[in-house]
Amino acid sequence: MAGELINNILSNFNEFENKLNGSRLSAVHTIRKDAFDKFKILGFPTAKDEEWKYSNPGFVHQYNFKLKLNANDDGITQEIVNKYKFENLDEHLLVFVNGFYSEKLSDVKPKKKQIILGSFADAIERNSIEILKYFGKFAGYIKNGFTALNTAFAQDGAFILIPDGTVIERPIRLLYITDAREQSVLTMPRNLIIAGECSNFKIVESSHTIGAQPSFNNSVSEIVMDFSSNVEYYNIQNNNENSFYVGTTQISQQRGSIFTGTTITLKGNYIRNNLNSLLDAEACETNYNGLYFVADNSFVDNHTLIDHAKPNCNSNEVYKGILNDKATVVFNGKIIVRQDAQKTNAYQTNRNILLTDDAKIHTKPQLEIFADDVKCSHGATSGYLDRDSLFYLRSRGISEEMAKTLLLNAFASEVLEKINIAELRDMVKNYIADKLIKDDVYFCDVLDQIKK
Amino acid sequence: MSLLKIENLKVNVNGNQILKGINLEVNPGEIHAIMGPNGSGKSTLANVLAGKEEYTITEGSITYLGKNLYEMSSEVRAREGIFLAFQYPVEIPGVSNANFMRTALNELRKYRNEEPLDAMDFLQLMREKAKLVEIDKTFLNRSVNEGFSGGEKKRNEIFQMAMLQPKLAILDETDSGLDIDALKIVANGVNKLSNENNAFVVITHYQRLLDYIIPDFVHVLYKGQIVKSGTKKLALELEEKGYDWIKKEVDLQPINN
Ligand SMILES: Nc1ncnc2c1ncn2[C@@H]1O[C@H](COP(=O)(O)OP(=O)(O)O)[C@@H](O)[C@H]1O
Ligand SMILES: [Mg+2]
Repeated sequence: MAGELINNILSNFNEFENKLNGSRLSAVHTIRKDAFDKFKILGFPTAKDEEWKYSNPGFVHQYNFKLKLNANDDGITQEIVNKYKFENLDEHLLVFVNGFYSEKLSDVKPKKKQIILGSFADAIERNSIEILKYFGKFAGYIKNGFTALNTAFAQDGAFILIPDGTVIERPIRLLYITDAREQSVLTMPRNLIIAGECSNFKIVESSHTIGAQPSFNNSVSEIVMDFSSNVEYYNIQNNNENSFYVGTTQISQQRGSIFTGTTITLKGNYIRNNLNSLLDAEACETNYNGLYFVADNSFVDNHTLIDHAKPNCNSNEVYKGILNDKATVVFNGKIIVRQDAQKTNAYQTNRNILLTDDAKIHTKPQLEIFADDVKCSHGATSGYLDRDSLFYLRSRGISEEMAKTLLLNAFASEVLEKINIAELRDMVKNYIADKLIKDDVYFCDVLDQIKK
Repeated sequence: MSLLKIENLKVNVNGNQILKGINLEVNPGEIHAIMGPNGSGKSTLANVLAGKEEYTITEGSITYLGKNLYEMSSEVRAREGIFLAFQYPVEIPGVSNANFMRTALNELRKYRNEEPLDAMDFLQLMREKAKLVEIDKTFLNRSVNEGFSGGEKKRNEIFQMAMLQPKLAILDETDSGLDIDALKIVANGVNKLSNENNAFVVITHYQRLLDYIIPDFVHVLYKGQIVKSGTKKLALELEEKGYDWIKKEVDLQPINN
């Protein structure tokens, strides 16, 4: 079995090239070929790679994932899509089936013609200038086999272009559906998101697998932000226990831009998030918020990198987690402050609550500071729920489960409150509540409720 | 029937015997004061009554409303009417006082097969009780005890007591660290609540509080035993002479373990 995926991939690439015909000579394909050559050398990472020490992606050799090379949304109905919509949330919906955009299932309604909420494949087809300018320029594939592989097979995914000065109120939803009803599937969506000057919008991404076979989503997104743009990027991870996910998001920020990335992880077998920002201009702000609430045998690794290359930027990173059962979690937060990047403020915290003795956490802050006039701090904690707090709540008649729920919500609230989409926030809160207690829970603050 | 009956209660913590045979009976309508030097076991007794888990009861019995108290979890004790005002209330960041009290009150109501309070009625009740202990409205939105001064924490305990209307309230040094005004507020809270159906056990270090909350009985706890019981006069005597004369009396006699 071992090596089967690699062998398949090698023949997949020939198949892929044959299908391309004329466009084999395009600039895009030159990058793909280069990435493929890199992948052949790199292969998949192993525990010997420092960056993958605690997150050995052995699953790639364990299952015979089939890469889908062609779009086919026949088996996916509107009912299936509806299941994954957030209640009451009015959104621009882009649906992808096995990594390919489905026009039939999507529902986008941009107000201006210049706004593009569409597919990566279309953008290639149109010879979009942005593809030529940005594709493969930010998400490095020289060291990371997963990114190299995604780049080699980059065909479809989301292409989002929000022009200068455009504010979009409705969240833009990227909904990835993998159909693993018949066989195990590998999908590799490739996204390019371009934020024009002073544009302002929110993206919400989530992947879902239907069917019981294993699925592996190896996703890469490049986000390019122009002057003073403001992007909120939410990644909501709540897939089945047979799903594997490696997602790399690379953000490039121009002067005055604000990026806020929020990663909420609730379920999945193996989840590796690489979230990387390059702050190569002054006066940028980067916020990373993370919440993982995982159980069973789930594995989650949040690998973040904030690279301060220019002066006067701020970054703030808060990751909080609750680990139940035998869940294993890795947090690796790297902050680089380059010699030029004077007056940088960079803060990072990672806090964990373990609900069992079997849960495991590896947390590693890495600060590499080469400038002298900076303010940086980091802190990491892990522990159990506070006994005295539990007793205090119970001594007022609150059941043990409810007391735990209250305390865990309080713990998570720092991150939850930063979710600026109310429907999304409620979904996550309710999920946590349901998991901990089958009973009614009074989560919403009483006073909030009265205001309504 | 007595509300609370403690018989020959012996309690260990981490292998050390802290309570060495306590006897105490509390009837509805009574106010008992427990006094005694630091380290005597007063808080231990209070925590055992509230159901804190790290204590091991090695001997004796506690009967509450005719039932064996050991068999009740701490939340059930609370729902059955036991309330402990903690000597050191914990801070709980992220849980608002309002949410805390609403959850507690509704758990209590559920236990009694009553409908949950609707938001308006609940808020009204909170405001009324907050006024009783003279705490500011904005406090309701703040996290439980977070950043509260010592005095505010103690008043919050009395506020919670007023919200939950217990049958047996145990106040563990609620007066310590309070100035005279705060002390009066606390005492006023207790006196407003006190009636012929409920009882108070007021643990205090000083007789000062007992000028405002008049006890029916005063007990002295020393080295894990109640070594003297009397009326309010005993408290005054202690105020005058200190604990040394009692310590001497006790230390001369061998203690029966
Ligand atoms: N959790 C504990 N672990 C170990 N010793 C304890 C614990 N709680 C109380 N003690 C000990 O029990 C004795 C009585 O303490 P406490 O009940 O707090 O007394 P008081 O309230 O009368 O000052 C003290 O010697 C104290 O050190
Ligand atoms: Mg004490």
